[in-house]
Parts: sequence; structure tokens; C-alpha cells
Amino acid sequence: MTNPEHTPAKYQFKAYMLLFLIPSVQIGVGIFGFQRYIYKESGHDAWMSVILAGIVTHIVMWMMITTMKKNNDDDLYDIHRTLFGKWIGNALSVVIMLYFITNMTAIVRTYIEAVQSWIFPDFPTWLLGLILVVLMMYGSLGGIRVVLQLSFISFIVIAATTILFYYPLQYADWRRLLPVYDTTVQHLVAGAMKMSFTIAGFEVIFFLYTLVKDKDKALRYAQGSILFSNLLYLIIMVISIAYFSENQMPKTIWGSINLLKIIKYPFLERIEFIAIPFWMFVVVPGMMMLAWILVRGTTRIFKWNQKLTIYGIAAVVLIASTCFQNRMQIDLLNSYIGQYSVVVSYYYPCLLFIMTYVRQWWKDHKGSKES
Amino acid sequence: MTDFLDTLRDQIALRFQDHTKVHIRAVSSNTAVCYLPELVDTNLLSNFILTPLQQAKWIANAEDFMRILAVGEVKPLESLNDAIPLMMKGWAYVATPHIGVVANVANLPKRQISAPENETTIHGPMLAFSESIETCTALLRSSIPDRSLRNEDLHFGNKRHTLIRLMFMSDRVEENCVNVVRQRIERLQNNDVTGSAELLHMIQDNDGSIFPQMLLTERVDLASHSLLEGKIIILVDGSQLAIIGPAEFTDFFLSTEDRYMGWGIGTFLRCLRVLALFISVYLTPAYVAALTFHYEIIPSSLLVSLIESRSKVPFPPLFETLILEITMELLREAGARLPTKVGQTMGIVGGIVIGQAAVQAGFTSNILIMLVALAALGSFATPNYFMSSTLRLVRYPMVILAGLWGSIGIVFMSLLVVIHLIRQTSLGQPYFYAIHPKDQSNTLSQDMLMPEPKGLTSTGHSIRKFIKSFRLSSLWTGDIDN
Repeated sequence: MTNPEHTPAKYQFKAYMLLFLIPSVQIGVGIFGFQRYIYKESGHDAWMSVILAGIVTHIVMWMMITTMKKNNDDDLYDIHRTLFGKWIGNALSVVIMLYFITNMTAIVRTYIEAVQSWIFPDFPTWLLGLILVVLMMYGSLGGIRVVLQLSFISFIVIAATTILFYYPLQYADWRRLLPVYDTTVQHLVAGAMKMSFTIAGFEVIFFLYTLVKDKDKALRYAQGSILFSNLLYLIIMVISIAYFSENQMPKTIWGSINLLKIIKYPFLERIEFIAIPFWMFVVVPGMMMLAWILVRGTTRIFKWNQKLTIYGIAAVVLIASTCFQNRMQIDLLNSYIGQYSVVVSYYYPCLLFIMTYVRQWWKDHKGSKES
Repeated sequence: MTDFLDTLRDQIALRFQDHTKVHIRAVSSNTAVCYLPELVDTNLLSNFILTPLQQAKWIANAEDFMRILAVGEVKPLESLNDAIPLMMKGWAYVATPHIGVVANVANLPKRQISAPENETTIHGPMLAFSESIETCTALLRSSIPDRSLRNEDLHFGNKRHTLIRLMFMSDRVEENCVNVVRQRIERLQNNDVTGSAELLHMIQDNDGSIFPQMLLTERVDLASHSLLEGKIIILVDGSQLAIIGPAEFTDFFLSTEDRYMGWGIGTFLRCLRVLALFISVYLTPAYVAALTFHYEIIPSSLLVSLIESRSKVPFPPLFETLILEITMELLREAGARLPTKVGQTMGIVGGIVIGQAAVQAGFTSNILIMLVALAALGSFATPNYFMSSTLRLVRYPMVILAGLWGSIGIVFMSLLVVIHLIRQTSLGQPYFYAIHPKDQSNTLSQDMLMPEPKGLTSTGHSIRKFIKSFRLSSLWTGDIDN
């Protein structure tokens, strides 16, 4: 199974599917209220931080795909083994898997928090967690095809929700964006760092790339997918800055939901009561994708039974998410994961990129010496 | 010399044990014809079997029989035992001391070809399949007179010896699917089936699912269209419904009539049916969820009239809706079981007595009656009866979950159904596509009924090319890993 050439053709997919798969992991619960963290750092120039984070992400994506190309299109678990040897490599894989399962817990818990603070204040955490986890299990047992198809539905839900943001535009005060560049580079960078929890998730390319059928197009579509989510974040950020006043912004925990709240139709208002439940269509494919990556890892490293592993993941996520009681703890969890994901999805790929090149140079060097 | 006739009589009596009346007509001292009189065409028998036999001088081998007997199907047989199943189907057994042959002189009761009764269209050919497998085959062959239309006969069952016929276009069908069908039918050799609907349940991929995984149709034009699309038709002798497989979820919402209406109206009708699907599944759950938990989403002006109409109702919205939904189902079920003439009273009972009286008695609100009626209309807009029944069934858990968890319940149920649909297969082919269906170059023009560009081949068209790149057939996986 380690060699991608052994992956049967029917399990592979066309490169354009990355367009839907990557955003379905990236865009999840972070988008509900990422505005204020960035605003706190870089003020009304927060949109520049979003662009900065986006550009860095594009570069890192290029590095990731180049790294994998240099390592005969292997996925991250195999790259670890080739670069670090069996034991250290597997240990690093376990660390990455821990990151993914923590991420999953954070997604579940943040989503539950959103539901509890907007729709049902008394809805038990464990029950909502169970709902999400049951969907995740049922979907994951169906394999990658379910993730692929659902991620397309989630893409439609995301696109449809984005269109709804035209409504707050009529209350926008564009002067709030001025003066442009009223901050320092340090603040901009600090703001971009805060984007990490929201923007993270694109590291799944490390595991998806092996299954892409037409690998020459993979980079193009992967960049396209990141461009989509970056533009989405940028649009929401700009609208939020123009819509919320200077004092309102840092206090608004759920910025994006507040934007939806004012939408009114003759037969419908308070769209967030529909949008938040329907966001499950976005959250669940992301969870399923993470579960799929975890199961791939456990099968590869520990040779565990796949079905049981999924049940295990579900149980761990469910129990872990009920441990977080209030907003403070969830905030803390998310900011930890934010820092964690800066390391995993930005620094670490750079390290792998450099190591791959060094290893290749070393091999060539040794080769030329021997001959 | 008469020894032969006596032995034959004994052997026949031994095998049929006097319960079945077998005629044994001795033509000469060493030739006899045995048949079941109810099942044979007497004209055929006397003109083309008995007369030639009487005139024949010498019969030595099977070839002589072939020459003498002037009917289409004549088969030489090894033993009497082989003849019995065929005699039960109206063949005549012609025996001499050395050889025996069977000749087809059957005249089984069959219905005239009639117009489709359950899948009606306004335009379109008025041809429906009938119970005779020969008639069905003839109908399909006459609509597709092409060499590549193959049929393959499989026998099925212990007692009934049901004939099952697979029909497919050999140059368009996926060979895998045909193999899957063959294997599944062979695996079930020893079961007895009474009709294609029963066979469908035996050979479909997941019988635990409430969603039909293959189409059943009585329309010849739908079947021949499906053949041209590369699907397999399974005909069962004695059943007027043909099975079409592999099917996709969207196939259940397409009517052949869409094609006869031109692409504009056809596409509009298809979009309307998608809308009807959403209305029939979501309308009443949304009512329950909104009135139980989410008053906020209803604008205040609308809320006033809603609350006014509900003010006399003593039940919570969940019970109110369930009562009315079940009443609706009862009306439909009672209407379906009654003879047509009495059935019309159901409309009066349902519309006036129950509808009007329930509101006046304070059982339900006016608005809910309207919503339930709309939902019922939506479910009847689905052209396939099996699918529309399934959709009605999906509504109940949806209503109950909406009453328990509000909008979260509705979305939970929808996701469950969507994941379930994605996981299903039909003859090993993926059943539900969220992104682009079918591995065919002209898919969009089929789904949206777009007119073919004149003078352009499908490969030369840039939009077509773009759509082609969106094929998903390669995505199928059954396992978690890989």
C-alpha cells in the first residue's frame, strides 16, 4: 500500500475535485467569528492581514506539492519514513494524527457552541456531539467517495451563504476602511498568524495528493481551492470592517453570524436559524476527511481494524468535546490549535521542503563521489 | 406394435399421476402426439402437426421431424422428462419408439397491448408492456430494430420455471453490470418469484434501504430510451413491469415526456419536480420546527395570521402535523384500494368532510391543511410511484425530529439521507451523485435537455469538453482506505 502505484485506479479522483475537497476542510467553524481576533491585532487594516496570510498559504501549498513530487508522490506518512527513518517517522506521524484529532474536537465543540449560543441554549452538548459524530461515522464508513460527494454539497452551501452577505452591504460604511495602512508590519503579521485556525486544513493535500489521478494539474487546482477560501475570507473581512463600528468589532464573538442576522425577507427573517444548522453540511465533510486521514494513518502504522478505529475516533472526539464547559475554555482550545496549526501547516512543510532538497543533494553528492 | 402406445401412456400417467389431463393422440401405431389441451392452439396442432404426420410415410430420425412438422420451433429431446416442463407451457410432444421431439403450438392466454395505466403522459406513445414476455420483447425489438440489441434468457425458480430475459445493447452496456445481474439471478436459482417487483428486491444491491435502486416501468418508450443509454432491461415472464438497471437517483425524477416537450419546457418541468421533491420532504417539518422552536424566523406580519389560525388548536404542532399527515395517507391508501367508481367519493370525504370539519372542530389550523396538501401534491409530482412512496416515508422521521430538535433535527435527517444515498450502489454502479452524474459525453444535454448544436460534433464543442472534464465515475470507492 505504500507505493502510490499500487493504489487502484478506481479509488483515485480527478484533480479538479481538490477544488471542493480542500475548502470543505478549511472552511468550517473558524469562519463564524475570526474577524475580531485579527481586528484586535491590525485594526481596520485587518483585511491586509487576511491577504498576507493568503499569500503565505499559496507559497506553502507550492512547497507541499513540490515536496511530495520529490518523494515519488508519497503521502506524509511515507515521507516521514523516508526522511526520518521508521521509528522517528512513525512518531512524527502520530504527532500529526494527534493534531488532526484535536482539530476535529475543536471543530465539533465550536460548532456546538455556536448552536448553543444562537439557537438552543439548553441543547445538551453530548447530544449535539453525538449527532455530529454519528453522521461522521456513517459517512466515513462509506469511504472517500462520500467525502468527495458531500464536499461538493458543502461547496454549494458555502457559495449560497456567501451570496447572502450582499444584504449587510447596504448598511456598510466604507469610510471605516480608511486610512489604508494605519498599522505596522508587526501588527499585520501578528494578525495573519491569528488567521491560522481559520485557514488551516489545507495540509490535507499531504494525504490527498497521492490519490489524484492527473497529478500535473493538482497544483493548479489546489492553488485554486486556496484562492477560493482566501477570497471568501477577504470578502467577509472587508464587509465586517465596513459594517461593524470600531468599538463593536472586538466585542463581536460571532461576526459572520451577526452579519446574517439582519437579513429579512417577506416570508423569512433571522436567516442564522437556518444557516447555522445547514452549516452542518460544511462541518461534517471536514470531519469525515480528517477521520479518513486518521484511519489511513492507523492502518499504515498500527494495522488497526478500520471500522473499530472510526468508532474509537468518534468516542474520543465525543468525550473530549463534552469536557469543554464554557466559552473561555473553547477560546483557549482554539487559540492553542491556532498556534499548533501554524507549526504544522506552515513551519513544518518548510522544514520538510528543505530536508527533501538536502537529502537529494546528499544523495547526488554521494552518488558522484562513488562514481 | 401397440406396445409403444401403452408404454407411452403408462409413462405419461406415471409422471402426471392422473391429476393433469394429458391428451395422447395416436397418429399411427408408432407415432403419438401428447399435449395439454388447455394450452395448445388446436388449429396449429391439427394443420401443422397432425396432418403432416398422417401424410408422412417414414420417420427415421429427428431431421425427418424437422422436415415434416411445419411449426417454427421444434426440438429433439433425450427423454420424456425433458419434455414435461415444455408441455406444461403448451408445447406438443411428438413421440415415436426411438425419438421424441417437442413442437411449440402454445396458445397461452394473453392480454392485448394496452395503454399505460399508471405512468401516464400527455404526449408520447400509448404502449405498455403486457404480461407475456414475448410481447414485451417484440415491443422492444420493434422500437429498436438493431443487431446489437441482445437478449439472454435465464430460468429461475423451483416450481414456476419463470423465464427471465435480459435485454441490452451489446455495444453500449457495461459488461460488468450484465455479469452482476447474471450472478445475482443465478445465485437465487432456487427461489420462486411471482413478478419483476419481487425479483427487483431480490437482486438489488442493498435491500435494507428504503430507496428503490432500480426502476420499474410499464412504458415501452422509457425502456427503449434506457436501452439506448446503455442500461439493462430485465423482463420477467408473467409480469407487466420491466426492471431497468443500473439506475441513478435522478432517473426516478425524469419522465419520458420531458423529451417530447422540447428542451425549454422539458427543463422547466424537471426543475419543477426538483422543487416538488423539496416541498414534499421539507414543508411540513419546517412548519413543525418553526412553530415549536423558531418563531423568530417568521416575520411578525405572517406570524400573526399563523398564530390566529392555530389559536384554537389544543395540540402541539408535532401532533397536529402527524395527525393530518396520517389522515392524508389513509385517504390515499383507501382511494387506491377502492374500485374507481367508489373511489371518487374519497375526494369528497377527504376534501370537504375531513378538511373543513377538522378546522372547524379545532383539530388543525387552516395553514397546516394547506401545507400538507402542498406536500402531498409535491410527492405525487414524482413520476415514479416507488420513489414517491419512499419520499413520503422519509417525511415522517423528518417531522418527528423537527418536533424534537427543530432545525437541527431536519438537517441531521437530511444529512443522514444524503450520506445514505451516496453510499448506495445500483448493480455495482454509484447511485447518487451530488456533483456531475454519468460517464457520458452528452450528459448535460440529456439532463437539461439542451438542444444539440447543429453541425458540431460533441467533441468539438468547448462547453461539452468542459462538462466532460467533470466526470466522476472514477470516484467510486467501497473501502475506507485508499
